[in-house]
Amino acid sequence: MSWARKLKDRLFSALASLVALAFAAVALHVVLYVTWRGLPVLASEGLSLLFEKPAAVTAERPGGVAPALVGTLYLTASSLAIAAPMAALAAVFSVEFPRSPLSRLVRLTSRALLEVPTISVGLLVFSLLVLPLGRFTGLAGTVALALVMLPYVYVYAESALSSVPSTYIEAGYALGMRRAQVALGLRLKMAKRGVWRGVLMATMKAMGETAPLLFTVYGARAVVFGGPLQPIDALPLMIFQFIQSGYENWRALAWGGAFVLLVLYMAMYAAYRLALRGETK
Amino acid sequence: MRLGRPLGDLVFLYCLAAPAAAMVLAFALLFYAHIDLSREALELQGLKTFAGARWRPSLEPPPKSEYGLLPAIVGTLTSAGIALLIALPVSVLLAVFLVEIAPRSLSHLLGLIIDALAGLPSVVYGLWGLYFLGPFLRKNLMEPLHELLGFLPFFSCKPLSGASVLTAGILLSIMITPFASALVYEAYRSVPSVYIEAAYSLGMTRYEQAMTRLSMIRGAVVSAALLGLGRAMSETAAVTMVVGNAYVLSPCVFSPAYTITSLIANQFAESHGYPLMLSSLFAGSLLLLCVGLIVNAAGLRALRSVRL
Repeated sequence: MSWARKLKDRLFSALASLVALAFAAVALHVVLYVTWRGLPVLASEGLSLLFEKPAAVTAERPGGVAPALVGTLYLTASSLAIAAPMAALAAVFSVEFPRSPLSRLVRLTSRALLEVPTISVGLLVFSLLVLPLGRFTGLAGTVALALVMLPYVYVYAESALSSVPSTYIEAGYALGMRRAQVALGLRLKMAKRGVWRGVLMATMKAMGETAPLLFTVYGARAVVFGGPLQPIDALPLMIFQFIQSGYENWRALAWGGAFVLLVLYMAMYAAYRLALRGETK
Repeated sequence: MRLGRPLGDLVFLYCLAAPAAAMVLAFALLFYAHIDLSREALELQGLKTFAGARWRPSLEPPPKSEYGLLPAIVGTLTSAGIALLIALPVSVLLAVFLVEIAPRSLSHLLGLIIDALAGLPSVVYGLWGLYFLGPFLRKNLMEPLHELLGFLPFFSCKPLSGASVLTAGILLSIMITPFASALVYEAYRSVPSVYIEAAYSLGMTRYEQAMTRLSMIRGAVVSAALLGLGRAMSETAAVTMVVGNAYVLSPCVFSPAYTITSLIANQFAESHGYPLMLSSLFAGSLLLLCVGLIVNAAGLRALRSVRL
C-alpha cells in the first residue's frame, strides 16, 4: 500500500474521531451548563420552586414555576389525548384501505408537514381560536400542540402498521375475524411498539415546544391553573419570556424552570428508550 | 350467506375515515388561513412584502407604513445556510465514526447521547446559546476574525455583542446535527455487507471503503441536508434568543439580525393595532410554509432514491 493512501486513511480516521468526540463534548456541555445554572436555583428555593407562583419583579426571591409546570403537564396530556388516537386511527385507515384517495392524501400531507414550522401552526390557531374568542386560552394551546403532534404519530404508526407481515393478516381472516377485529385486534396490537414509539417522540416534541404557544396560551401566571378556557402558562414559554426580561429574580426562575424542563425531558427520553428496548433494529 | 360488504365493516370504514379526513382538513386549513390572512399585505404592498427592506409600523396606509420582509428572509437564509455548512460534514463524519471507528460500547453510548439531543427542547439550546455560546464566540471567533479579515464584507462589522447571525447559525448547526446524522447513520449502516467485503477484498483502505459506501447512499446525505435545512429555517425559540433581533440588511455575519421566525415571535404582540403588519407576518409565515414544504418533499424524495 502506498504511503499516500495510508496517510489519507489515517487522517480520515483521526478527523472523524475528533469531530465526533468534539460534538459529543459540545452536546454534553449544553446539558451540563443548563444543569449548572439551574440546579442552584432549585437547591436554594427547594420544593417551593415547584409549588409556588412566580414572585413579583420587586421581590428578592424568584418564586416558583407552578403555573408553568401545571400548564406544560396539562397541555402535553390534553394534546396527546387528541392527537394520538386520531393519528393512530388515521394510520390504521391508510394501511387498511391503502388505495383510497383519502389514504393517499393523508399520507402525503402528513409526510410533507412532518417538519412544518411550528410558529405557523401557532399563527393558524391564533386566527382560528384566539381571534374569534377574543382571548388566549389553554384550549388554543392544546389544539396547536395536537396539530404539531399529528404528523409525527401518524408517520411512525403508519410505518409500524404496514410492516406487520401479511401472513398474520391472512391468518386472521382465515379464522373468520371481522375486518375491524383484524385491523384493531391484530394489526394494531402487533404494531403496538412502533406506534408507542411515535407517540412518545411526539410527546417529547410537544412538551418542549415554545413557538406554537406564543400566540395561543400567552402565559398567565397570576393563578396556577385557570382552566382550559383561560390563558395558561407553559415551561418553555415562561423560560423564553423570563430569560429575556430585565429582572434578576425572573431570570433565575427561568434557569430553575429550564432545569425542571430538562429533568422532565430526560424522564420522557428514558421511557422512550425503554419502550424501544428489545426491538430488532 | 350474505354477499357484499357486511354492515359492520362499512361502519368501521367510516369510523376510521373520519379522523383521516379531519387530519387532511386541518392541514388544508393551515394553508387556507395563511393565504386568506396574508392577502391584505400582498394586495396592498405587492412584491414589496418580500422584496422591501424597511419595517415602518404606522397606522397610515402604505406608502407611509412599510412592512418589507427582505432582511428577515436574508437572515433566515444566512443562518440556515451557515448551519447547514457546518452540520452536514459533521453529521456525515459522526455517522462514519459511529459505524466504522468507534468500539461497540462507545458507539452505543454516543448514539444514546446524540439521540437524546435531537429532541431537546429548543429553549434549552437557546439559554445555552444566549449565555455561553454567544459570549464565547464573540471573544474567541468573531473578534479575532474581525481583526484579521476585517476587510472582507462578511467580517467587516465590529461584533458588538454575542448575538448575531453567525451565533444563530452555529447554534442551529448543533441543533440539527443529531437529526441529520441519524438519517445518514441509518442509511450508511444498511449498506449490505457483501459490498463492504468486496471493497476490502479489492484492497481498499477504510477511507476508500467509506467513500464508496457514502457514494452509495448519496440520496440519504442529500436528504439529511434538505431536511436539516428545513428544520433550521423553521426553528423559532432558540434563534430568537441569539440572533439579536435588529432590522438591518448587512452582509456582515457578526451583525445582529432578524429571521422570519424571530420577526414573527417578536413583532406579533405589536401587530394588534396594525392590521397590515399582522397580515405581513402571515405572509412571512406563508413563505416559510411553502419553502418548508418544498424542501421537505425534496428531502423525502431523495431519501426514497436510496436503493441498496
